[in-house]
Formats: sequence, structure tokens, C-alpha cells
Amino acid sequence: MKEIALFLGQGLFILLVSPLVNGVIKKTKARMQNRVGPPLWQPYLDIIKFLRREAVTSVNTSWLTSITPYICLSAYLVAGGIIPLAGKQILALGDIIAFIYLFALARFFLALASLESGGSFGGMGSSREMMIATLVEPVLALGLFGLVALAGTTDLAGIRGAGSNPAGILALIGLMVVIIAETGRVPVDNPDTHLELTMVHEGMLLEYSGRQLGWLHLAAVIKETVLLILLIHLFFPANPSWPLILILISLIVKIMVLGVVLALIESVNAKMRLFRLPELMAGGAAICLLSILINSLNGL
Amino acid sequence: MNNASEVIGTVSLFLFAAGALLPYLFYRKRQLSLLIGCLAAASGSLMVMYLGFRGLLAPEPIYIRFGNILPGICLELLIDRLSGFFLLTISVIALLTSLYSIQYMSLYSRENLAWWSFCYNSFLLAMVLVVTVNNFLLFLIFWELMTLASYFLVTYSYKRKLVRKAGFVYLIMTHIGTVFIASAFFLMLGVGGGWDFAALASNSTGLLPVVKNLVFICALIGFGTKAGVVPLHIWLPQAHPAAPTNVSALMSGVMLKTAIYGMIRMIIDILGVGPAWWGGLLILLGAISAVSGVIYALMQEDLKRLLAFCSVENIGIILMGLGASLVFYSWSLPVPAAIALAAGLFHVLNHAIFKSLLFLCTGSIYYATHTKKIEQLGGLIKRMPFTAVLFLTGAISISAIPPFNGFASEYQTYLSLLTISYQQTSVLWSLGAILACVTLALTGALAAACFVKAFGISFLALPRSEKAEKAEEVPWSMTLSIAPLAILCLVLGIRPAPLINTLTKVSAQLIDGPEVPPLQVFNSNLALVLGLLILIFIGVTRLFGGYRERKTETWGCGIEHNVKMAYTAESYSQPIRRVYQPLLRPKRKVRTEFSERSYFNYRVYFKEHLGSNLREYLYKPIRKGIINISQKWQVIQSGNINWYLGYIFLTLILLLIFVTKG
Repeated sequence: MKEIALFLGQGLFILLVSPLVNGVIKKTKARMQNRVGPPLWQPYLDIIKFLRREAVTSVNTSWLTSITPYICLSAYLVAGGIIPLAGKQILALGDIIAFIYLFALARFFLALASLESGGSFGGMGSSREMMIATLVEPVLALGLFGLVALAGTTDLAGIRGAGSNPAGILALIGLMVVIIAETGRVPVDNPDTHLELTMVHEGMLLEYSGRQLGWLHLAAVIKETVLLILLIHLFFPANPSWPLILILISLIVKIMVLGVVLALIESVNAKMRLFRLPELMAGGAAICLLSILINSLNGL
Repeated sequence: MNNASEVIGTVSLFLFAAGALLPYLFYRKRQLSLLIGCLAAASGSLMVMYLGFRGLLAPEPIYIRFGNILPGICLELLIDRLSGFFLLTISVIALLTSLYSIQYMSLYSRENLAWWSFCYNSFLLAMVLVVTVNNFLLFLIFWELMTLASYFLVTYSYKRKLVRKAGFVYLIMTHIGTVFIASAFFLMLGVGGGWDFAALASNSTGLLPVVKNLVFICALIGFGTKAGVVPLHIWLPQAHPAAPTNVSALMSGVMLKTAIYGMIRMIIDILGVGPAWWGGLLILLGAISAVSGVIYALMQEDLKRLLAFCSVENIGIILMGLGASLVFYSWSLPVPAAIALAAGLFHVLNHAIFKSLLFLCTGSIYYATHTKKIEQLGGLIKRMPFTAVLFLTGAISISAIPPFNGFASEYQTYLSLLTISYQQTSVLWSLGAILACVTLALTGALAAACFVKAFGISFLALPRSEKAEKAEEVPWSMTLSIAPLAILCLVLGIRPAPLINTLTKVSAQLIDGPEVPPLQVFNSNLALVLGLLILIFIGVTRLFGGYRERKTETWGCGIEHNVKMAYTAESYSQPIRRVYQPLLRPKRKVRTEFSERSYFNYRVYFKEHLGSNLREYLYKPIRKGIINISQKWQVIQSGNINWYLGYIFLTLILLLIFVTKG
């Protein structure tokens, strides 16, 4: 019973904090561009606004389009919920492999739904998203399984802090590259534009509107936060013996710091051409591989 | 109790025989002959299913003895857990495919349906016998029967040239494979030993390591050809699209698996413990097959060719599980070895289920639209809602997305590969295992892209041709015979634990290890929480704050929206084709024509051809080499009779020298 409460609490926490993380990133970017920027709580207002609007959908769509936002939202929330922030594994819901594949579940449905309206932009976004996924997933697997091999378990509680070693810095850099690609940020994708040449994630959401778009925006910010929480869990975990409230506060602070770092990276880089992406991911893979090599040579 | 199995086994074999022969009595009444053939096959499969269950669950093997069918060779079926498992896999797919065929084969109502029934039933009979016979000579005979029956099924529409060509390649490749399988058996044949598997196994303990390695390589090439392991898979993407779709479902879903059975029987059961590089080689081949299979699948625009390439991918994943098992076996770690083998077997069953599901759905699409080209489909989700749900289930499962069965077995494969890296034997092994996992992740992502394309382009948006426009849902007898497969996909994905724990018993029986403790799996909890959350969000959306939804035309940037604006299959895979260019090596030709004002180009011709690189760089040189050598040999065939007499004389002298020396 306590476990279920913990799981629900953690899900609710992620649900509530994620828009704020997005707000911090936006604010930092604005400050870097010498703008005042929207207030920190702007993402909450945006999402609430969308949730109150009427949904307009294409006549070509079917039940797939209507169910996709719920699937995305649930998949990301469960992925966030299985990271044991407070001590041991919460329920037996899954491990790091399930974590990766929950993201695949959401991506699969979103890519399908964006094809449904029969417009060009949806297809473009969908096709690019799947292409990027084929580059991102192997590197993500390389980075994560390197740490898994070190810890000797795929259990998320078991790999807490698996990257807190010198070689872990390399894995952290590699995984940051992955997270930038996965969350669709510059230099991979630009979350702020609706230009056909650049958009990937926004292209997939283009035919959504109203409440369903609100859910998808919420899902996107949750995805971002969950990935950051995973990084923190792997590299900068809090001491699980601390009281819960302290763990949460330190977690929020760490997420915000990482969010600022992401925003800084985004601000000082230019958007990359889509087909230069393999080079970036190859770089990420090389760094992860180096970290694994150092660790395994160390172990012998 | 054994008696019941004996009776049922005999009856099932007779049913298949009846299904093969009886339709010829009603040769002129095509519908009736088809019905008899299909029903006999279905009821035979039902009996085999019982045998499969008995074999899978029985701690002791079941023997069914029929007596001598060749001088000195007794037809004896041995159903241990492994055979039971494969019988079960074969029978489930065969049962549903047979029921499906009753309606589907009406597409071929002008053809010779009695001949189809004959081949189909012989094919099923041969597969059942291949996985149960206890004698290597009979194994080879039934293996050959299976190949021939499937050859005639592949070339059923023999009037098309492409089909004849595909059949020819299939026949050649599988016979090369059979040569290697036979060599593997003959290498193990001891002096004075019997022909049955137990005798071979006891002989194999005394074999020299060199001979053992040779046997392993032969078995790998032989069974690998049939299974479609890269680079021996070239027959597969040709043969599967050529066959009628219900036959492709059986060939891809089940026949490839008999090769996996052969590999397991030969390598683990008969050869026993080998060096660790055997497993390493299998993992390597599996990784190569998985990635190259799926990447070629992604480039196809014929649904059946796409699925055929995907079979190569899944065989690769199965091999990875098998390979991991061999590695642990050689490191004397029986428990991980049993778990890894169980992971491979689990994927065997899962692949059989979702692949035949997808093939049968493709059959339904073909039935409704008379095309299997993705580019001509579209909008089918509205016109064929049930088929759409079934195809989607298969697509999700094959892309290894939770909570469906493909994920459950790939998950176990991941764990087994990672367990190799936990052992910390050497940097090479642990790094290799991690890289194998990375390939598996890459395969998963590519498979997802492949099936988003396959499902998205053919079922969603607007119809791209008149054929798709006029499509209607197929008769219920077809949908109903596919539906159980979709349900199995979900059930095995949500509750894999009972099956996995049974499968570890199968592998423990082969490996002679201790009892494997029941594995902890989280799939059911995950599925439950996911399902609940989705329901909660749907409820929240619909109930609170006045949900409003309006339907309207898709925005076409100012002009009326039409189907040409939608993405096509070709354009969908273009980014991936471009990124993975170094692997695929497409041949491009771009030619620009200018008008009189030479600044503006007038017409651009673009041609891209994606051929098989293997054919170009591996098979062509081999073929040329063989032809070259044969031409060199022609020198001794001068046509002059004096020369030939000379050869005979020379041979005689050499033989005489040989005899006197000995």
C-alpha cells in the first residue's frame, strides 16, 4: 500500500514539476538572448489554456489519433515512476530496459498518429523522428548498458549512482548528447519553430489541437524531466537515507541546474543540418564506448 | 497414458495423409476438395497440439513406435520437451492458417486446389515429423520432403516467371544447406553406432575437437541456410513473396523454426559442450542478420517482401539468445545457459505468432484489394477496421514494444546478453556483449520505423489507389482465424511468466543443469499500470470541463487537401536510406535536362536502385569462380575416345599401386 502511494506521489510530483523545468529552460534561453522572457510559470498557463480549448481533428483520423496522447502521457509517467527516487524499487514495474522501451512505445504511437491526417508535415516529422530514433536508441543503449555492466544489474535501484566514478563523466557527456536529441533541442531539432525544414517533434503535433494538444505538450515536458531525473539518478543520486523532503528538494535543485545547462548548450549552438546528425551521435557513441573501456580495463 | 498419445499421434499423421490424398477424389469439385484438405489439416494440427502439450509438460520423453519403414530403420517418434515445444508452435500456427485458408484460397479457385491440398498437407506432415523423429536418416528424408513440399507451394503460381525463378533459387540454396546438414551427421557417425540421436550423442563425446568444430560449422551453414541467416538468406526474400500468403505465413512463421530446432538438437543436445567461440560466432551472426534484415525490410514497398526480410531480423534475435546459451554452456554455467536458451525459444514462439499474424493480415489486404504494394494502399483503417487492429497488434509486437510479446522475449535476450558482460571474463567478452545489446536496440528502433511505415502508409490517411478505395472488410472466417494470434500476442506479453518458466524446463532438460528457479517478470504489473493510467486520462479528458471535438478537413496550405500531399512509403524511408547509405549502397542516377535558357533546368530524372549487395559482392564472384573452374576442367573432356581409354588405364594403374602398397 505504501509502495502504491509512493508511486502515485512520485508520478504526481513529476506531473507537477515538469512544466516548471520547461519554464526554467525557456527563461534561461531568454536571458541568454538578452530578453526578459516569459514568467517561469508560463508553461502551466499554456497547458491549461490548451486543455480548455475545443479539439479540432481531421476527418481522416481514427481512434488512433484520439488515443495517442493518453498513451504518450502514461508511458512517460510510468517511465518516471519506476525510477526509485526514495530508496528501493517501487513496485515491480520494470527496469532500465523497460524504461527505454516505454519511450519507444510513446514514439511508435505518436509517429503513427502524425501520419493519420494525411498532410505532408506530419509525415515529415514522423519519418524524421523515426530516423533520429534509430540513431539515438543505440547510443542510449550503449551509455546505459555500460553502466548496467558495471553495476551487474538492470534493476533501477541497483544502478543508482553507477556513473559516480571518473569514467562516468564521459558516459554523462555521451548521455547528455542523447538527451538533447531525444528531447528535440538545438542542435538536433528546434522546439521553438514551425519551419518545415527544421521541425521534427513539432511536425508530429501539427494536426493536434485543443485538449489533446495540451496533453501532448504536457507529455513532452514530462519526457524532458524524466530523462533529467534518470541522469541524476545515475550520476548524482541523493543519499537514500535522507528524509523524503530533503531528497525531493535536492532533486528539484539538481533538475533545475541540469535544465540550465541544457538551455546554455542550446543557446551557444546553432541548429545542425538533419543529415549531420549521425556525426553527432557517433561522437556520443565514441565517448560512451571510451567510458566503458576505461571501466572494464579498471575492473581487470 | 502413453497409449493415448500413441493413438492420437497415429491419427494425426493419418489425417495429414488423408488431407493430402482425399482431395484428389473430388478433383473436379474444387471447393469441396479445398474444404477437405483444410479441415483435415486443421484437425490434424489440433491432435498435434495435444501431443505438443503432453511433450512440453511431461518430465519423461514420450516414445511412439510405428515399426520398420525401411530395412533396419524403425520409424520412432520421440517427443521430449523440446520436440513438444516445437510441435506446439507448429500446430498453433498450422491450425489457424488452415482455417484461414478455407476462405483465402478462393482467390485461387481457378487453379488446381487438390494439388495445393496435397502439398500443404505433406508440408505439415513433414514438419511434424522433422521435429519428432529420433533417427538421423529419417530426419534427412523428412527434411527433404519438407523442402520439396514447400518448393511446390512456393511455385504454386508457376505461370509467373518471377515465381519460377524464386522457386529455383530456393531449391538450390536449401539443397546446398542439406548437403552440409548431411555432412554434419556423417562426420559424427561412429563405427558400429546406430542411426538414432542417442547413439550419435554418445559417439560425439569421443570426437576430436577439430571434428567437433567441423560438425558445428557444417550444422551452422546447413541449418543457417534454411533459417535465413545472413549471408545465406538470399532465397528468403524471393520465396516468401512468391508463395500464396497463407503459405508464407507457415513458411516464415514455422518452417524457419524447424531449422532452429535442428540447430538446438544438433549442437546442444548431440554435440554437447563446445568452446565459447561457438556462442560468440552465433551472437555475431545473429547481430549481423538482425540489423541487415531489418534495414532491408525498411526499404521494401511490397508488404510480403518487407515481412520476409523481417524474418531474417527475428532469426537473428533468436540466434543471439542461442549464442548466449552456448557461451554459458561452455563456461559451465548451466542456469544462465538454460535461461538464455529459454529466451531464444520464447522468441521462436513469439516470432511464429506475430509473423504469421502479419502475413495473414497481409493476405487479408491482398484478398480485399488485390495488391500488396504499400504505395497503392492507404486509408484501410476505416475500410477494414478489424484487420487494422490485428495488423497493428502484430506491428507493435514485432517492434518489441511493451506490453506485447515481442518485448517480453527480447527483454529476456537482453538480460542473457548482459549476464555475459557481468561475468567479467575479459574485456572482449563484456564489450562484445554490450555491443550485441546495442545492436538489439538498433534493431528495435529500425523495426519500429519499419512497421510505422508499413502500418502508417497502408492503413492510415487516404487511399492512394482505386483498389484501396474500394476495399471492404474480409469475411469473418478470415478475421476470426487471425484473431487468436493477436490475443496470444497480448496474453504472452502481459503474462509471460508461466511460459518462460516452462521453457527453462525445456532447456534444463537439454543442458542437464539443475532446476532453474522461477524467473521474476514485471510485465503484468507494467501492463496493468499502463492500462489503468490510460483509462484515467481518457476519463479525465472526457468527463471534466466539457470536452468538445470538431471534425474538419486537413489543412492543405490554402488549396484543397488531396492524397498526393500525404507521405509515401518511399519518402518515409528516405531519411533512413540516406543515413545508412554506407551500409545499403544504393545506386543513384540523376540526369538534368535544360531548356533553351540554360539557367533553368527543365526536367530532372532521378533513378535509385537498391540492389542486394551480397549478391553483388559475394554470390556473383562465387558463381563466376565456379563457372571458371568448370571451364578449366573442360580441357580433359576432349571428346577423343583414345584419351578416355587412357584415363581408364591410368586410373587402373593408380588403383593397382594403391592396393599393392596397402
